[in-house]
Amino acid sequence: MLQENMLPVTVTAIHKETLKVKRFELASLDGRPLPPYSGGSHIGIFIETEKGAIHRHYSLTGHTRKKGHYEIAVALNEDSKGGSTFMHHGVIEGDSLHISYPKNHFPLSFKAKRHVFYAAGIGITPFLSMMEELRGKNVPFILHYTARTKGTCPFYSFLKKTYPEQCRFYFSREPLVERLTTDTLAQHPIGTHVYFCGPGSFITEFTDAAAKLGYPSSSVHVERFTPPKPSVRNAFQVRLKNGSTVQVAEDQTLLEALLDHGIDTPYSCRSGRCGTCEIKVKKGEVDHCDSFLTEEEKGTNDTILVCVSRAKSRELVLEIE
Amino acid sequence: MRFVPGKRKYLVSGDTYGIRLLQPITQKIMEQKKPFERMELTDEVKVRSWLSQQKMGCYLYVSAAWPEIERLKNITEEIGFLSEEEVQFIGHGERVIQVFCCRCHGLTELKVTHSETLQDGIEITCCQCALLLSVSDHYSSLRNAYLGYVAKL
Repeated sequence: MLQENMLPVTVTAIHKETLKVKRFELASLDGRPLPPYSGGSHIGIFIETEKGAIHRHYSLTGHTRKKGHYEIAVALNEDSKGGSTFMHHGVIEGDSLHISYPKNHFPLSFKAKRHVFYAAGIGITPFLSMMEELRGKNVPFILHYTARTKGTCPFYSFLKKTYPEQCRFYFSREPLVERLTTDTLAQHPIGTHVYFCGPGSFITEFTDAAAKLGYPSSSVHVERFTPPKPSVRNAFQVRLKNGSTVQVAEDQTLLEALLDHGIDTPYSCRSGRCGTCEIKVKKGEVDHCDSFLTEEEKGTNDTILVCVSRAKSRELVLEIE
Repeated sequence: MRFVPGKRKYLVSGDTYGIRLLQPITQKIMEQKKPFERMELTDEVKVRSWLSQQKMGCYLYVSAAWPEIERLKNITEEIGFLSEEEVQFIGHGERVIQVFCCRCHGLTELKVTHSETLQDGIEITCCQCALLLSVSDHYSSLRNAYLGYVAKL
């Protein structure tokens, strides 16, 4: 299995951004600067819980050029499976954490003439470092940001002060305020790249609207907190190169099933974004749920990202021992 | 030349012969009852201004003599037609391409006629190292050249 290198860090400060969002400052234990990163990058945090180890991804929200420490923002999720509850209630200043090196599955396009960010709630986090990077390069950008109210809008004051010309705010629970709709997508000049981050329904609504307008898929970038749910979550069987079979239950991923059977499977993000767990498919029909393969690649049915994707057929034959 | 469906508006442009070549595409757009605009490539300032006013979701067809195509590609990309998913170029007439030698990295010019794509099996001699090259359809935008493989081992 691919062993991920970890960085031991200490929590140097915790700030309350809103009632449900906390910002954490992290520094290395040995005082050396943490590795630099590009706009849109995230880190993984390895959390030990009573039910076992869990791994959560958080966007780096700080200043990409201010080397030395990292900042992340975590929203307390009412349906938390352990990650946000631990970060909100189990972490105090001075604690040590293990994090991954920064990775970037949501990079800025280097071709775009201008960038437009669409954020909902905590979906603002990857855009903070992206905006900072663009400002440094003097590249034009706009942020459309929706939240329930000003008070529940993470980084509202910071954004208003730092990017007064570039930010448009929309508050869905405040009276007499303009609502964020997909209508603005029709106004973007040719050469624009759009970026969506927020709840799944928000991303789907905006992605569908962009596709309907005729946006090229290469001009649309999304960052999902969780991978899209498969259309049907059936149990299925996989047959391996050596002839042995592995059963995948309805409530487990193909990756989990392979690991449970002691099969060395490389993986990293566990959310269908990085491509580390891509395996060749010899037979069977794949239900692709990842955001890594292109539509064309998905159409060929040649490979599967086992961390999120499943089978439409009853059996898949994989090129793995 | 292929019609790409699902766009909000279509832009058809070219030199006089190119506009004529694009007639099947124009016909298809009209059949689909999609909005479209057409402009002959005569005045660069006018063309630039026209293209710069367009919004995301438009699809552009450009047809011109091959020597013009490279220049037009630069203009459209500079304006914001960034990917093959939003613009298609259809050259006509004689075309001179460059072939990149896999051995010495030299560039040899080759005249191609009658076809937008390279026919299989063209063999040329590298002008720099004299290796016999089989011209592939692998294009490198970095070199602005097609890759030439060793034709005979």
